[in-house]
Amino acid sequence: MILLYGVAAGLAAGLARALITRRPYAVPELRWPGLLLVAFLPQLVAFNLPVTRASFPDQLAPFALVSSQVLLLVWVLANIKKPVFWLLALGLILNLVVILANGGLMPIQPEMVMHLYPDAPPDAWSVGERLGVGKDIVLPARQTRLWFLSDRFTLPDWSPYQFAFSLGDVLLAVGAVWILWRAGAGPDDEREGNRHGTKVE
Amino acid sequence: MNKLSQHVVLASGKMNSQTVRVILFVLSLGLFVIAAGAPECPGGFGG
Repeated sequence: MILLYGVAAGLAAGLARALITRRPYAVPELRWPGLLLVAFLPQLVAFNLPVTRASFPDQLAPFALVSSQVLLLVWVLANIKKPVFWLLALGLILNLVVILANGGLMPIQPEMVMHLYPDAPPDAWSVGERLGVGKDIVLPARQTRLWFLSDRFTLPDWSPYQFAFSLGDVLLAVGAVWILWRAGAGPDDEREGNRHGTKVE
Repeated sequence: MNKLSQHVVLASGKMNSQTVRVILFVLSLGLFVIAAGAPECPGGFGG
């Protein structure tokens, strides 16, 4: 959900830019939008729907996450020629690599879990196991492959929102905001014309 | 008058299709970001 706030902020900024510059808010046409829905389905069942996620087997969670991310990778590569989608692809790949390297779930350190859930009972989670019904697996840094790509970042203590995120998440958020901001500058062909000194009417 | 009404129809159709395109794009991007990102948020812990 937190990443959606970034999308909302990027959209608001891009729309404001279009309004101020009096240009149309121009988004590219996406290929294979249906694949996005298909890609999201495994995660919807495994991690999001309250009805299914509580009973979803831990052994199948990695398959759900990895298959979903692979389909997302196919989708983003199909749209790689769209502006800034290379950054989305990079963020996704960084997340996918660390997930694959650690058994199919995103690693999170025990210290981070204690920071996020200070009131959790002692037996609520354990090292080496999936964290609740989410996408994470609790692993100490020394047992985490590519730990620098894991959910190792968090916001300052004064932030009302506390969550752990990875370098890949940062790139995804920046990419989404950048794409939505960029759309406020008008269509690409109009920008190309202005860049070469000829204004397209 | 006929030409004016034709322009209005064309303009409103174009505006609506552009709006729909933006909405679908933003929804697609939002869905992608949610699925591709893996931030651990409090609330995903419980059942």
